[in-house]
Amino acid sequence: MNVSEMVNEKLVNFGYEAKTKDDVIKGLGKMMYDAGKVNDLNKYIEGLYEREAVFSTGVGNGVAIPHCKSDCVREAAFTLVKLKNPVEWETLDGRPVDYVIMLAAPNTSDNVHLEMLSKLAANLMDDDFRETLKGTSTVEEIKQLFSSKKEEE
Amino acid sequence: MYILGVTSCPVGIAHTYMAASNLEKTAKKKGLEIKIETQGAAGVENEITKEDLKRADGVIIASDVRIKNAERFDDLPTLTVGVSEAIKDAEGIIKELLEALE
Repeated sequence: MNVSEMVNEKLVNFGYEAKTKDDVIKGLGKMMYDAGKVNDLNKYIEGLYEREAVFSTGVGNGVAIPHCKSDCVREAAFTLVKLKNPVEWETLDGRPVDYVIMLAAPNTSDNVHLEMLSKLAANLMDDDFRETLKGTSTVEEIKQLFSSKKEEE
Repeated sequence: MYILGVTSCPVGIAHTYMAASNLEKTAKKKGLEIKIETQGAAGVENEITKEDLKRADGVIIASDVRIKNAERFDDLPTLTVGVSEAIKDAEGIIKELLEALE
């Protein structure tokens, strides 16, 4: 399986309007719900906030990865959302966030899809990959990027 | 120089793997041999073996939760940090370990 197969057009946005971290978490949570990835929106959002409370998911370089693993997640999924304007978020390097990869993980032992989420997260540490991803403007470009990353490994 | 590491985080789907990736990348850049065991939601991966322990010079534990089988490292110099630290500053962590080993 390749991460590119999990790219879902309903979970991609290239100019999402949000003013605050709360807007982003609630809005992208709803996006997950509307795409059918989550069956209980309130529970999912609650899970995201619970995770944020442990320590913030702003991982630096403008990227945030809010996430949770919960029974309310139907299948593993991620958003690829570029924010129209950066928002404040407690981040490791103090920079605001302009790209949000929200992860949803089901409470199952479906390791294949969990591994895809983990691989995506790990790839974000690669400066070239991350900056290319942030610069994409079509779903096709994203899929191409993910496929090329697979070939390298 | 052979460095071992373990990464782990509360949910186990993202930070664990970002920290592992960053430590590996940074060690490689410095020409150091490194092996990182991830303890995530998918279980233990890239598990450290007895052979690894025998020839290891030092250990980095980057975790916010209690890791499994920490006693393996009792006889090795070990640096323990938060998982975020390994995402933010793997360079600094490796440097600190190397200095402690000198």
